[in-house]
Amino acid sequence: MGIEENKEIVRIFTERFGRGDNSVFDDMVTTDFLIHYLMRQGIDNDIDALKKTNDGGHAAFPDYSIEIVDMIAEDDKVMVIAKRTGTNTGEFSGLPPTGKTVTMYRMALYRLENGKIAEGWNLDDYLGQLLQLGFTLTPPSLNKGA
Amino acid sequence: MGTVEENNKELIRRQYEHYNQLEFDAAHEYFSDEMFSEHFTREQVKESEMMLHNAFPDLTLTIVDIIAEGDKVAFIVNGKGTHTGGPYFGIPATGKEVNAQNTYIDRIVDNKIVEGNGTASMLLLLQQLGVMPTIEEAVKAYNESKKE
Repeated sequence: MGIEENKEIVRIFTERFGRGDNSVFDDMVTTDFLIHYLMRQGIDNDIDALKKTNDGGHAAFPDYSIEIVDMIAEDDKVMVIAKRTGTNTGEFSGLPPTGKTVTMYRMALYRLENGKIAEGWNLDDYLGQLLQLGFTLTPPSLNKGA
Repeated sequence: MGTVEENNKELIRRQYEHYNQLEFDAAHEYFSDEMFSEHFTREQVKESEMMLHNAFPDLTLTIVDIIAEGDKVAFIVNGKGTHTGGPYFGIPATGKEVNAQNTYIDRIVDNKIVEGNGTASMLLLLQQLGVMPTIEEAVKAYNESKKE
């Protein structure tokens, strides 16, 4: 597989996964697929947790759209930047909907084997999304009990 | 003679060697003026880089993966360090160790970085410093506050 074929596979994977389609883990990844979810602890290599997170995101933002901003490739690897936009009209992790429209950038590096994705390193700007939803940062000096 | 891609990857590796040696001026030689604007000045960037290294005196930046195509280089950097120095965005030394990754795509023209895009594990880093709850903790606190 050349880099152009690999980019096309990553484009399709990114768009399907970004639209909430978890069946990408049935037909687009190797059986020993490894995921490294860089922005949250405890999800590394746990596909079920990743699917649940993806489902949760789509319940919270049912109109999520994803646009690929840039892709670069070398040998068996492809790095992608994608922009996700959605409106928070559903429950977000058990919190009531805010009605806010948020934009989140996702960067991911994928390693491919024979037309399937074998390994991924995914980093979403999760803090940016929370801030757009109205989460606030509290300085530690103001934290109770800190 | 290497390819443009090999040359550009080597340029990024050299820039990070300078950061690890705390040679900020040398590291900044790789950024063209085009990278910056009045809202994002070279001085501001340098100050925030120095704040980071001052807050985490043992900070080590490691390029864990790097690929290149044409005039662009994509890479993942792992940052590992202990918050024993100065304040980090106003957060006084916590003594906590952090270990987090950032991802970048830079565009390089004539051996200078002219454009950069990236995402950072800021939330994870703040959680590792102990100043931000996890989402689960935040939601639990919210639900408990509703019960009162």
